Amino acid sequence: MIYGSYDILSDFIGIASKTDKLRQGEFWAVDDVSFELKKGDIFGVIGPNGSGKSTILKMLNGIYMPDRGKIEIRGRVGALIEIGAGFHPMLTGRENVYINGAILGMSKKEIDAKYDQIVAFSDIGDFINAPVKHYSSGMYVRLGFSVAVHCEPDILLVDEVLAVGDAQFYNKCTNKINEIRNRGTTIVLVSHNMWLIQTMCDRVLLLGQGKTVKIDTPFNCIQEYANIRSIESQQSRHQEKLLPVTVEHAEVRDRAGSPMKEAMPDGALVVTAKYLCQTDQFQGFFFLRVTTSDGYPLYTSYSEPSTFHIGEGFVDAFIPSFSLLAGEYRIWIGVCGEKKEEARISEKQLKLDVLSSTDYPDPRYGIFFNQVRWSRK
Amino acid sequence: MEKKLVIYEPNKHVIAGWRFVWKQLFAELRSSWNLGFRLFLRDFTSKYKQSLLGLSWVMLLPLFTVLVFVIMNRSGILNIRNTGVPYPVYALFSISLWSLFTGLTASISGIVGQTGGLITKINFPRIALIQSPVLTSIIDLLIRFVLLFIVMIYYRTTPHAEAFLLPLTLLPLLLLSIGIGMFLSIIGAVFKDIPNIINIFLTVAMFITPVMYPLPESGFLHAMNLYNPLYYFIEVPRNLFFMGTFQHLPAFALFCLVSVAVFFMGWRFYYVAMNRIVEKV
Repeated sequence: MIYGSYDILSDFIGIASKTDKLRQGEFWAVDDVSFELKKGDIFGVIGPNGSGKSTILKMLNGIYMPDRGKIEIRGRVGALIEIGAGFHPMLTGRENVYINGAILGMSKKEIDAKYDQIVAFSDIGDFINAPVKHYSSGMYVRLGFSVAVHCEPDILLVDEVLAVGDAQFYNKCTNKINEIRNRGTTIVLVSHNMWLIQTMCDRVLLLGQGKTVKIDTPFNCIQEYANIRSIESQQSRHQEKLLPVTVEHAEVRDRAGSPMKEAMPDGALVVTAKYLCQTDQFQGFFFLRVTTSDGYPLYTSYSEPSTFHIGEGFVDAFIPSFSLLAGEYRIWIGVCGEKKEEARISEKQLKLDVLSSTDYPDPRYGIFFNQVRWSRK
Repeated sequence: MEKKLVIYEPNKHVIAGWRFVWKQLFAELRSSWNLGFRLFLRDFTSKYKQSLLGLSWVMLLPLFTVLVFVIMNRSGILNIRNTGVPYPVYALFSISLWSLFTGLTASISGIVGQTGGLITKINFPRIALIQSPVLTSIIDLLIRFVLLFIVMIYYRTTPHAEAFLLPLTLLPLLLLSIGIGMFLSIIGAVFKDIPNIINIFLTVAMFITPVMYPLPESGFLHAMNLYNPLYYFIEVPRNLFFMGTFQHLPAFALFCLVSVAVFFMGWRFYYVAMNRIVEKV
């Protein structure tokens, strides 16, 4: 409060404040981050929560002013950040399109010209003339998104907004964003969806506690991010309460029983785990999950319901064919209670790489490997 | 077409200097008019869309306040004389002007609090938020004047010829309200009790300022109000409208300048402080 008042006062009077030194209690939300984007670049920003991603977007949007350094932007900036900004529930969809459009910087002429496209894209139909308070949340989002996306800025800032809406709408959005990108719009994308980052972005900035960790290709940054996260989660695992069953040790082995770190796409493997049970008659399941290196789940399997007795035990999970093409994967094996995913009790994470080979399809076109039989008629 | 280069850097307002900031203020005003008007239409149409009494609400509160004062005056609780025109007409005129001040100040000072979410997420000319309350207050005033004219017809009171100058004499009041409102909207974003303080202050001010009664001949209220800009901003238009006289010219002129200064300072403050406030809201 005091710092704020002081800053406002010195700005108002016209005295320069020493913004590049931290006062007590302050910290750098974004510390020495620099990058340059050319027209048409698609730039991803990833990092843990609180690493400064949204702050960077707000600076690019002209809402927060930098305290040190400079930002130069050439072109109109649009944002897919607050969908439906300025919407008033009592007014009709049509009236709200004009308000939202005006807030996003479109002139009345521009909105008039694009009005039909906006309504068509949003799939609202006749409801466009009904008050917005009658809209479902999906319709609300579609309309807001449609206005924002037709704003046609030179630079588009996107912040996690594609998490809303159904799958069909999601596809529409990604198609539209591709369209925008082909038109040469520069896009800055903040997301936790590594798939989106991987497929859309040319370059990615990985942030950690406000600082640049890496600016590199999407794949490298995502790898680095996964590494950081697994180190952090290992550290937090030191606190383990008294669990009914603990998985003490787990390993990936081949059919012969020897440990393996690499597999072929259609290789067979056994995941074996040793567990310790401290609560007699505990009812639960074993579960096995295979995910990508950044945690995106690929497949899960549950054992038959089991009763656990006090003491040690071993369990094997036999996978006849791993079914995944070249890449780095994680295998989780663990124990969950009767409610399965809602009651995960203990688990161990293992790494498994699948080697690349020209005998198998390119993983860029799909990471799953399936034996498909072809026959010509 | 060459796109404009926008630069964000620390202390940009300070580096630019006062002169440049004024230029930016006026440029922002011009470019934001479209949005400001849209927001006004939105606020105005939505306010009365689902209400029973609709636009007549604008008239009802002043009407009932005046009614209370008239009843108290008639029954001897208050002893208001020498108003020149029938008291109901006098009171209604005064309260319409006073409502312009209170309504505008209160609504502008609440702006940052109300639109907090919008301000921190989207970049748009912030001055557009001020235009809606201003236009709304002016429309409210016009509606109340319609009521006033009806009452004047009933009491066979006619305004003086010089009454057409009325809008000009209301300008200082308007500027003062907007200026104070803009200061308070920023301060109110940090100190949350400001709206309450404003309410109390405005209520007290309505009784201490000679709004519903003429200036006392002597005494504390007499002395105090000679230094009260609001007294002149109500009294001068009132005299002009009903009597055709223009009194207190020196004091009025001085406080006009004060209003203009408050307005421009408030405008600069609103524009410059907004950058800091978005980090706090």
